Amino acid sequence: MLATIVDWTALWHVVAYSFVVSVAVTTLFTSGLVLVEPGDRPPSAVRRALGGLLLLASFALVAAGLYVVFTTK
Amino acid sequence: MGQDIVLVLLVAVALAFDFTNGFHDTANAMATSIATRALPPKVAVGLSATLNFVGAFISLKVAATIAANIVDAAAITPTIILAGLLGGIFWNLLTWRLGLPSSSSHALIGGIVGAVLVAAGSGAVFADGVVGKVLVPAAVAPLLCLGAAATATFIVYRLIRGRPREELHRGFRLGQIASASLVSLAHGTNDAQKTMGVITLALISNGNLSGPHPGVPAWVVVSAATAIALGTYTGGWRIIRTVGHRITGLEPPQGFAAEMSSAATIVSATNAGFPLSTTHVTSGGVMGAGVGKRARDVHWDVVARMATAWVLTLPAAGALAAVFYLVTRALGTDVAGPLMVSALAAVGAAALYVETHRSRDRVTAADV
Repeated sequence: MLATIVDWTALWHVVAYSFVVSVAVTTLFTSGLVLVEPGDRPPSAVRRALGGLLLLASFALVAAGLYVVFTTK
Repeated sequence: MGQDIVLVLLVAVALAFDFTNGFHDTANAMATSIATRALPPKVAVGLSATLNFVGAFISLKVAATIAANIVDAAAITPTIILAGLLGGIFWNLLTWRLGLPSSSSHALIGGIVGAVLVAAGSGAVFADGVVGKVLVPAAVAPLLCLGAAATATFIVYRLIRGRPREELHRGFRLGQIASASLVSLAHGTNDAQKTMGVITLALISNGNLSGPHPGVPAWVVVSAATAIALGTYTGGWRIIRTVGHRITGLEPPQGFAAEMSSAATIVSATNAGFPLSTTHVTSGGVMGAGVGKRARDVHWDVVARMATAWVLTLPAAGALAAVFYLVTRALGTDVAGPLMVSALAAVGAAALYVETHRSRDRVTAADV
């Protein structure tokens, strides 16, 4: 009965998108923070640039996700 | 004429429900940010209120689901929907008094279904819609968010192992401002629409809207957005305390992981038109953040109390709504019954609110 009344395709998309976006954004953001954070000594320019890129990527992923979700009819 | 007066009364009660939905659910977006000191309490609820207002304008898919897939608009009247709303409001107030983060959405849907069952019979309830659009997503969403938050938290703590915590925590607190804002926006897109859906359903049942796909009128969108934003701004401090401090102790990395997982789950579900419980999702996220760091830090006794309230919400709100409908019918369903029952309900709600504010365990912004 459940097989016919639940839109499993839509539910599966919700599960997949939620899981992938949650883990990807959190991982990108944390990796970026770890790279730009000074720690014992200031990070090199390359490390800072890479960290900044990862932080930007985490925000870009959120923005892209919102755009796709709210422009899809 | 009589039904038009009831319709006006219903719109007012629906907006009152939306207000309670707002203050009941402030915790969903902001409890973790307040608990980790990423944001001061008053700033957090102000930001959340603004973003809830904005979010209410972004999507109407959930409103369409509520209006078309739960009960048969042709078989019901505004009086029945009014009783459903009153059942939902009272369950929200009772769980708020107990500090339990139960689902406002399930209180609303349970209330409507309970009143319709008593008034029009089971034939007027779309069982397929209730199961397929509400119950199954309701069971899946918190588990999904728990799993995502646990995985994200586990990865975060592996990545930051051996690093100086204080400086990283400052970064995570900044990230939390963004992630909590995202949850507030997502909450506005999903929860404000439920009230819009109920008002639209009432307009259809009263003959004010017709056609195969009647849209949600602009005044409904604006008034529902305003009501949920005002409710959010008042801050449901009792529930914020439960979610932010009593499920598990939270550090900024956990708060960030919990909020990102909650936002991703709510936004994806909104896009699919699933009216899920944002309360269940965000509570699942906080539990997951606890499990991802160390499962034994989660206060499972609090989780068990919350889960009991979750299971009880649909039938309890339904039973309350059924009682409201039977009392209304006894007093006269034209105008007198709805007016008298609404007035009595308003007095009861005000008394509960005043009693809570005067009680010794009153919770304010300073306690969270």
